[in-house]
Amino acid sequence: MSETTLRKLYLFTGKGGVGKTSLSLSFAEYLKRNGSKVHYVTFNSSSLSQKKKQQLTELKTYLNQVSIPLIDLELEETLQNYISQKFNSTTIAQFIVKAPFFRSLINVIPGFNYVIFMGQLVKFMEDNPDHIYIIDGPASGHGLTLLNAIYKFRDIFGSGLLFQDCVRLISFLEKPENFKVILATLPQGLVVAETLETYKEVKDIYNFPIEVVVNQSIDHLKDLHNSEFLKKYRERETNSLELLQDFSPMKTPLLPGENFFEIIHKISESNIEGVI
Amino acid sequence: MSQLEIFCGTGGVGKTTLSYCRALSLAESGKKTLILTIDPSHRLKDFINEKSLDNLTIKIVEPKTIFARILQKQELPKNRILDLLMSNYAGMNEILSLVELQEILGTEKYDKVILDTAPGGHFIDFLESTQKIKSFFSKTFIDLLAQFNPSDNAKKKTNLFKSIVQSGLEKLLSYLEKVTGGTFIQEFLDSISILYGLKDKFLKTLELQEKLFDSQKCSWFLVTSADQRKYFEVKAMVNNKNFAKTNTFAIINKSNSERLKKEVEFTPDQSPARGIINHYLRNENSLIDNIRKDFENVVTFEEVISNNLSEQIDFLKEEWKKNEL
Repeated sequence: MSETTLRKLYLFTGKGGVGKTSLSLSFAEYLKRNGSKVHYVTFNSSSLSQKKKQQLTELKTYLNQVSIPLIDLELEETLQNYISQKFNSTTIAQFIVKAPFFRSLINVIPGFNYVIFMGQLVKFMEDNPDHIYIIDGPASGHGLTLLNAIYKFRDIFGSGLLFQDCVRLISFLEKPENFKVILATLPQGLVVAETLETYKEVKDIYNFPIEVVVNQSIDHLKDLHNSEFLKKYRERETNSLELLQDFSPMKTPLLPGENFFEIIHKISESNIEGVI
Repeated sequence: MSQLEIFCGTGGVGKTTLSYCRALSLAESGKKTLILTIDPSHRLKDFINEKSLDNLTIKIVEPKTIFARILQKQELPKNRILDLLMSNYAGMNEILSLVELQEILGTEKYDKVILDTAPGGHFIDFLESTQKIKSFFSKTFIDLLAQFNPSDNAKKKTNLFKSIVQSGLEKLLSYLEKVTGGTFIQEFLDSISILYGLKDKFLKTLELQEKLFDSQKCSWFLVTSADQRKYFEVKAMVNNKNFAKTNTFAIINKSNSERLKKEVEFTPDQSPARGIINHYLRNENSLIDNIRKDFENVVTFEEVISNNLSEQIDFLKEEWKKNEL
């Protein structure tokens, strides 16, 4: 299996604030520009705050500009579709989804929603075998919850439609040509230490292909012009990356920009293809 | 200042470190302080464990332990759904930290209690809606569970599924069984019956809410970071009507604008280095402008650009003392 072959599914994860969204978006933009049929996937619960909705609108505008379709998996709608497909009936699906009993089950049990989201996503992927899906995943802890959930629920369900889907999902994810985890981090000691923990967990438990990406690196700056800030930044970067020596991680440069989307565009033109 | 202080913020802003330093500074100034923290990173945990201070008590929220305690059991009953519910990322975290908080405040042993909440706006969402706690004990559940007596569930455990099937929910459950398998539903109902047994304990935490939004009793610290474009999270909190009367502070962490303003003067205009400096300055200034519009009380902490945790902690601790809050 050559390292440069595109996978069908990429999951971007990492601690909060490391730039999962900017890296996943710029990777999507890069793939699109190079002719791939790429989809950008986000998970949302039905209770988005007004501000987050605004952010989602901005995201939609951007993806529209670069002609990348957004799959915004909203829990209730996904469930409805998912169960409709399973029973071949919207009425039954409505009956189940609207039942307060079922709602509580979904809201209360962590990871249940991920099983539904991922089950739906695998359906998309099977229908479009030549398409590529990029998930802007939840932060590290929840990112692992997403992977954990599929295995845990397979064991807990033991039978039924969701069980069958978990089994299917796992066999899909475990093929290295299908799936890769992109673990984003920052060149800072505390963040890198947490990244290492997550890396080991993904490697030891699942053995999925994984790429560590150090975001906001200033390795590319030749002249710091005596800036104390940049000198310290570089010192911290060099020092923290010693922890990652064994992996020779990829570095994406810290690039200034007028706005978020300009930065994404710049990263998409830098070395983001390395995560393939 | 109030006895209780709550720290909120999105992931990666430095909330746990900052609240820990707050606790250190209070303890050093002679106040009996307790900090209740959710899921600190291993490195910070190790650091915290090495340091001990007479006046400082550190509690890390461990959902399983708290839950076993309120169940008055040594360990959790064997139930895989319950295990999931008690994992670190489950929705039970917030409610269990409230249970713990209520207990701590009840002891009156501490001059100051600091709560470091889980990342994201979850805690606020949780407090605001209380949907989670109420959905546990919604009418449906109560109707459902009224058919069996949770107190002697040992005998009737295996009959719960049957008794529900006999009720009007038969149809729904038969469909559900096809989706999730029967064992799962059985196990889920068992876990719910265990939670239901603790209903009063959970509902009692709702009483805390009044205290949390009372400016005499509680202060809120909303933490943002100068290097992140996530002001919308904080903004959402400001707009929350519950916060209207609270004693709230906005914190800008990891600020670099003071040092960067000076560096603009000597770095060449068109150099890439200057581009980055400008970029940081622009981001931070726009954050400051936004925050000043929304908050009266803004506290700024300069970034310690170093991997040395003890250097960072000492600096932040001294800054807290200077601020005299």
